[in-house]
Amino acid sequence: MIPVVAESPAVELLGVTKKFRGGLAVDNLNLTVPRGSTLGLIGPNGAGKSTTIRMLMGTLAPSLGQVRVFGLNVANHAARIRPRVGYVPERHDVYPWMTVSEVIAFTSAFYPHWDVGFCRELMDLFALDGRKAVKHLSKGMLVKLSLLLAVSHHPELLILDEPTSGLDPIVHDDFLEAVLRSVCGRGTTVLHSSHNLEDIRRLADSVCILRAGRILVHGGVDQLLASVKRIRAVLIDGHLPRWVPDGTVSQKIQRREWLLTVDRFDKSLADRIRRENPVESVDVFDLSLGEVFKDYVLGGAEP
Amino acid sequence: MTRLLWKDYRLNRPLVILCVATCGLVYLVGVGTQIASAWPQLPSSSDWAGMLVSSGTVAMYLTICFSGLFGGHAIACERGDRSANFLACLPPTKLQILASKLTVSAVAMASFWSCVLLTVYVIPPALVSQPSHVGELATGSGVVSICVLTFGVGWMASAVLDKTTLPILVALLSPVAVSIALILVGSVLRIPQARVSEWSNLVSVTTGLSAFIAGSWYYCRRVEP
Repeated sequence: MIPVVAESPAVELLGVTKKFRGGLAVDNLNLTVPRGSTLGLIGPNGAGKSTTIRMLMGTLAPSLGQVRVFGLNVANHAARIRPRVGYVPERHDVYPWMTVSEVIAFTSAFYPHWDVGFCRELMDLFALDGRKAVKHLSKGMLVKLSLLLAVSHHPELLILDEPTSGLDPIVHDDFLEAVLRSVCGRGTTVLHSSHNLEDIRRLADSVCILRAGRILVHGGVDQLLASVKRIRAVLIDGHLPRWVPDGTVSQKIQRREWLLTVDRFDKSLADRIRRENPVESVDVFDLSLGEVFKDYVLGGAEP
Repeated sequence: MTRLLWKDYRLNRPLVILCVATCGLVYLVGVGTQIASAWPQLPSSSDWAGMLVSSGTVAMYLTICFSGLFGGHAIACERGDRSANFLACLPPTKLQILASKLTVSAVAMASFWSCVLLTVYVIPPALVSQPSHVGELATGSGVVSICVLTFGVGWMASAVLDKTTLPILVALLSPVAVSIALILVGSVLRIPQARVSEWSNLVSVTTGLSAFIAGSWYYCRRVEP
């Protein structure tokens, strides 16, 4: 009996842990991605992003916890889930001996809602030659083929696992354009793992920063950028800070300059820093998503 | 399912070509030998019948190797080039994937066996207007049981391992292993060798089928592609 769950989120990770012999790759991850939203999954190498995605695709079993897609447990209903999901992996393992046309014909046979017109449109956009063997495609073309295969059936959930790493800027832009074209106005949920924070900024509604298999922060991109600020205070000569605000993500003291990155910033916080510490001046700066990411990852803040 | 069958046929095509070429070579050598030995006359019908039986018997024994090749190649070949990762993210279920692989291997083996049966048991008696070599069917059934063994063991090893070389090797060595095991069992339990030999077909088929079922079960249970 297959449960029909109409209003469930697109993705739910409930206490998911994955242990390998080398240690914990994912540690008690709880994450919900509502339908129709775009989540950017970012983190340093080895943060557990690809492991999480492999568990979502049902090609890796969690050691603990439950992975649910559209309310269905991936462990039991992978075959029901896969027709609704498009996946562009980091490494493209398409049959090397097939031609582009053969791969498309092979893949399309498994999707009842395969959009031949849209597929043709993407082939033209990507200048993909149907007669060329997959093994003779460049990395950029292989990524484009992989995206074409993932989106031509208009998936309800599109999972992108660092697809643009190592691509030249032109292929990169073509790729993003195709992603936007395929998801626009269709209510597609997108889970995009990437090291390219500009892509995340452009595509994602919300962002989740992972480190060592744990979530450091998860929230709306705009909300995050509005609440995380950098404060630069100039200390009075010979003094050290006395009061460090709660929600400090990272801090660094160089001579008299005290640099803090704080979460949940409001104006009263800057005033309190002035009052409680021996400082000459306090300035507040906005941060880019990249700076927020670096400060969270390098700052050593506990999740 | 049609596309899966097409994909598995394409994956196995090099093996099919290899097997057809090997069998063809065996028959070609047989034809050449007959013509050379009868020269300058043409070989008689009974010569042709004899040639077909001897070449067909060699081809029959070669099917043991072919079934090991098909079994050992079936699943691991897609892990070898990592295309199993691609397939694992597509909608077909593991049972469908296995059914397609089994169908292609079974059709290929059935084709070789049809050829062997024709050349050993059907055509030669017709050429010399004699009854069929019914007595030799016993040899045929023995070879079939070893084919089941090599295919099943190869299939199981292929389901577990990531490269095709070892599964094929294991499959080809499995008849030797079963023979040694039977001899050992016979000598330990003091059973006459003739009696033990009678069991070989049953043991081969049982081991082959068990390995096939175990391999299929493992493949379906395994989460990683």
